[in-house]
Amino acid sequence: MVWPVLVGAEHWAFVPPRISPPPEVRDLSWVRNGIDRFVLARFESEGIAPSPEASRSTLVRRLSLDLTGLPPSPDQALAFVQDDSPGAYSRFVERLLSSPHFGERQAQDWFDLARFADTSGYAADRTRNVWPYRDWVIAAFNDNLPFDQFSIDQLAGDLVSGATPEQRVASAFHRHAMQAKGNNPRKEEFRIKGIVDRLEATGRTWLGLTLECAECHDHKHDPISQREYYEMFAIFNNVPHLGTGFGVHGPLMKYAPPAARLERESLIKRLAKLREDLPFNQGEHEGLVGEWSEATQVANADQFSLTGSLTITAEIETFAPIGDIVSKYDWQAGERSYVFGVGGEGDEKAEPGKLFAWFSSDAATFKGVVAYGSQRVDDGRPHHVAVVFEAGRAVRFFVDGIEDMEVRIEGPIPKTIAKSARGLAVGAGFENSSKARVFRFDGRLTDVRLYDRTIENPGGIDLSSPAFREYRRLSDQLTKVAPAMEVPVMDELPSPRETHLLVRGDFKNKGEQVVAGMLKILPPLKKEDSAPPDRLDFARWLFSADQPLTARVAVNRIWRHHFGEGLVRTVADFGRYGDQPSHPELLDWLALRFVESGWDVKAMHRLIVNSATYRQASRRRPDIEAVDPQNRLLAWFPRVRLPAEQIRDGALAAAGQLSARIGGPSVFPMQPAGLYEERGQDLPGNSNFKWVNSTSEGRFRRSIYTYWKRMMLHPVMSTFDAPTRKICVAKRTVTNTPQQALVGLNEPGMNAAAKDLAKRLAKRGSDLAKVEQAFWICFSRPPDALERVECLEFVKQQRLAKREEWTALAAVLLNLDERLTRE
Amino acid sequence: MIPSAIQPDFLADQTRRAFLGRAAGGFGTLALGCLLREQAVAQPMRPHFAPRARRVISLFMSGGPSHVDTFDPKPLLTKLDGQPMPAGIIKNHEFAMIKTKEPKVKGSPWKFRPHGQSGTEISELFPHVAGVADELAVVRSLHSDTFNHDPAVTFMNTGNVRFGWPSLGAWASYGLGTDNSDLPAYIVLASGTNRQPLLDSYWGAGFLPQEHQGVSLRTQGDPVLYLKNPDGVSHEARRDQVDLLGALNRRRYELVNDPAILARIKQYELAYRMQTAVPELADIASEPQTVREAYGAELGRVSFANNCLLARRLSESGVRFVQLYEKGWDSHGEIAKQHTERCRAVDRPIAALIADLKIRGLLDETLVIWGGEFGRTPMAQGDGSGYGRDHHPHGFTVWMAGGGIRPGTVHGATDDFGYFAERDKVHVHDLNATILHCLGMDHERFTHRHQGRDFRLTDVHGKVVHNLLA
Repeated sequence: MVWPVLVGAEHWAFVPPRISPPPEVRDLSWVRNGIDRFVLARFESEGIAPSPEASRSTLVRRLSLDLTGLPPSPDQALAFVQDDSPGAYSRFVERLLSSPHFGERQAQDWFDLARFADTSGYAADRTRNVWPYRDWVIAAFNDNLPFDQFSIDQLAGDLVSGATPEQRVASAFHRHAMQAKGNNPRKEEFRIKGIVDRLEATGRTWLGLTLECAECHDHKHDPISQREYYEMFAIFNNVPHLGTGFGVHGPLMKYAPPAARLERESLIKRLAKLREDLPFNQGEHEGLVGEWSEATQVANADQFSLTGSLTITAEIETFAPIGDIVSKYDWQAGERSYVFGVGGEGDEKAEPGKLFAWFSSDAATFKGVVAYGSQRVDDGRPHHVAVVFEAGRAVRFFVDGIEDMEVRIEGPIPKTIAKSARGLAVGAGFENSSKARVFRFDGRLTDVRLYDRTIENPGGIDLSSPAFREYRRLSDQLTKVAPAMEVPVMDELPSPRETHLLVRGDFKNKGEQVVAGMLKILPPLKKEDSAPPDRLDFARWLFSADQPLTARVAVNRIWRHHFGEGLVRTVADFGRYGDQPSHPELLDWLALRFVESGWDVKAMHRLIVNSATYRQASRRRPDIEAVDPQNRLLAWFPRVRLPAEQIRDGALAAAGQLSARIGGPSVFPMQPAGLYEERGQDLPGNSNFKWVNSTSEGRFRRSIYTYWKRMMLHPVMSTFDAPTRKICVAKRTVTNTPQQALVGLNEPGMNAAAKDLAKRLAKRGSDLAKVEQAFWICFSRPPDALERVECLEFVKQQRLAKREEWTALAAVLLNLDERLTRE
Repeated sequence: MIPSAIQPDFLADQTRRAFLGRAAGGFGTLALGCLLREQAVAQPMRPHFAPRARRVISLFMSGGPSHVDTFDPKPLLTKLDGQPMPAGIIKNHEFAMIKTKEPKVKGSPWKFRPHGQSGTEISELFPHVAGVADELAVVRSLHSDTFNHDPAVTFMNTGNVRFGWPSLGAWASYGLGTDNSDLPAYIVLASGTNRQPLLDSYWGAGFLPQEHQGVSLRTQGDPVLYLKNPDGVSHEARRDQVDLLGALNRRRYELVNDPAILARIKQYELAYRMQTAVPELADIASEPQTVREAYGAELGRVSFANNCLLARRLSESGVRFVQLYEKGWDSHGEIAKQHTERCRAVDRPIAALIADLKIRGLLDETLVIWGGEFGRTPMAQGDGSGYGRDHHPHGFTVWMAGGGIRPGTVHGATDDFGYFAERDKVHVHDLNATILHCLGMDHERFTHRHQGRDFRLTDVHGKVVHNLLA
């Protein structure tokens, strides 16, 4: 489809924001900042007076919930209500903006866009390690990372030169797309679906465009041709896609959180230093029959044909999980004798990276003992390792002089070892033939020694020396540092994939070939060289000077966070069928302020919450509703039902149980038994995952840390409209259902919160004092006369009926509309 | 012929007795009936034309039942049993699990014969359903776009292979509301053998308001999650709490004037009533034993039979869309054993359901749909007695009965191998268009605006299959 050039230029959103100074208004007394002039100008032209300022109690709760997602503590609330000094309001705002909970609340909405979830989606809904990304986003909001850097790191952190591990973790934004796994999904089809998802999420998050509409044909409303869609597709089409079946995956990176990384590095350094003074392998032992300092093969089969007790020691340094140290062994040819190494040659029962040894009393068929060590030695650090074979009695492993006390032994320990017609291979591998080739030792291998007897202390050092005790202590500490895990990240293929337009979006129906490019309606994606633009070029382009959408879309979303609706209500569609902005000049003014501020996110929140517009009361005004039913002019402050997370977190806070800990792996607050089982979501091969309720602190963490299973969300979350995050969601739906009442009153976690709140009240003396404290906890205000009477009467009546009156009251208060709503 | 266990006069008798029970101030349905009258029935949209069906019972055979072993007889398969499938037919086709180059034709071990006046051919796997053959409109020419379970089930339910679109039941709830505001408009029940997981998104509301999503009624424990009061909270104590909630919420309403608060008060009242109504309704013990026996339902079990009986009770009480999932049809191996087990689990209850609805005068306005996400290959997967059949979306069978459907019909046909839908092909979108038509909705005009675009169940496709309509 060819769009007339004018079509684009005519639509407001495709034209860069215009400089629009705040308009003149008649009544300046109401105005607190520029925002208010835009809003008041509309009021004045419509003959509407602003609403009065909300009560201090409402404001303290509004600010606290909006900025941190948590209700104010009763003390905080009381202090704010009583502080009528001029700077009290903005001081409170600053305090909230610098609270570490600010990042948690802002991250929550971002995760709906990022499709952030703990599982891969589709039927085989498997866990992936994504919590480091969660921690990154929370920290980025708390550190007030400018929105351009925040975005560039997430779209292309892997491509930034000198990318830190954290920038690569951030790039997981586009690795959250669902990934089908299993025996039969068509790999290419689901790879393509992942890219379609990336375009959709990019469109909704940064461009406010429904790019996905052009997947199968030219966009019906907006000037986006199908060809252009696939040109953008090409930008995202260069991510490696690996593995098959259940193992199919995108790029992964070994990652340890910064704190663990630092600790590990410092421990390793100290260990290396200590090791210099520890004379491993220096001691002289009786019975040495061979010594090697590099990989070698001994051709003479009669040499080193030991048949009784023996000891092998070696100094190793390797990252390889499998490799033989010494081998005189060939099972295929029936020439078995002995072998010692790491990882067990891929034996099913052997564990990668751990010591193993086989000793057979029969060369033709295996008759003997297999021993498996319990410690990994493939961490790249120097280790002194040893195996001691005591004929007919024991097989012992030593790592760095210390005996491994958890060696698994399988089979009888032979009295003699068979002779093998194979030569001895030292670090030179092993093969089922006369030539050793596979399982070569990959890494540094020195001081390999073979003894024809058992040796009691093969490390040869003084185990009671202070240096060794310190060495041992630090080694133990190192094993306790969180290990590195594999996290999803983005990566770029060395040369781009060929991208074709897919006819009707069908992955098998390839149309013309296209190269990476940008929609014609938007400023060109320039590159200094002639290579096609990549993700990093795209990410930077989003923040280029004449780009009309990014800033508007972002500030509109911040606006929506506070006012429930955006200035453009279709927050993810700024196209021609999207909503017209209610205050176009205000939107442009905010967008330009945002750019000028250096994309300072906290500054935009600060600006908005300090406005008089934001400080209005939320009482609805029926007279104005008649002319402005959707409150687009903002003549009153919109009440908004809290998101699922805040409903639960608020109950935990009121109960005095909420954990303030930030970050870390997901937790498992109680959910009814059997939920996964009755849907078959625990099947081997599929999700393979069982929900085990957290005990202790995990029950009381903020909901943002709840394990987010896409195919079966925690019922408290789903009941209050939290999205499953299968796809990018820019705006949650808000419903009001009887199931919400059932959760609020009956769900065990909610019920426990009511009980704990009741306990919290017990410290107060009279019934009245208890009721008043409960209101301060739940609503940041005292009860009014009517509420007081109702509550006291209720308590009295429950007590008469011999019920737990305070738990009953607490449950009611936690369920009141005012508690579930940000007013 | 209706199976002997549920002869018309027997059921009619039960119905009369049940009616008397209700009239005498009995149980269950009475409570609901009262609540029904008390509540204004929400009706968010008008049907585009007079609906032939007021409600739907969808019997979803999750995993994909074999059409060539059940409702689509293919003598040629028996004749060519063991021979390679003609290469021309399967050229360029890939299969989910069959990896051999020359898959072999497999005839059905089950015999087909014509049933009823319509003479519809049904295999011996379904002896009881065969007894109601004259009620069915069998579509033998359905075809789908995708051959893996979750996209295929998603496609059948939402008209899209990707997640995020509303399901048929959610559309029905959105468009037609509920006839009983004490119950969700869309209820899901599950049974069967775990082979493939059931995903919430199969009955999700997608971009429609979330209250339209299917509510999965648990068949053990609380029928609705968190329905029971916490220990130590009696029904009376809860009443006091709900009263105080109402009083305090009304107080807030006076101050802030937000009608959402009134809606919340209503939902707490409704939840309170559901605490009584739902367990009564979900308790099939209140059905006469003879009726339970007719379905093959047994108290305290999780079974398709129990769910069929429950489906009738829910339908009768005004639930717009009841969807039953029977898991375990994914017979890649041992199909002879597995399909026998599955059919034994569903055959009698389905026949009983149809007969029961008919006798109660409900069948005329209840649309019953039977089928899975695809059929199974006419070729064997594996060999010997442990053979199975692979996923097959190119031609398979569903059947419908009841509201708006022409009974005793067979529509369309696959080729002689049962491979491709050939005559009067019906695409999944056509089927969905037809179902909406029965509900009085024009699938092209029944839309929801989302992300700047009007979305519909059938996307930009779908033709009503008029031949299926009464």
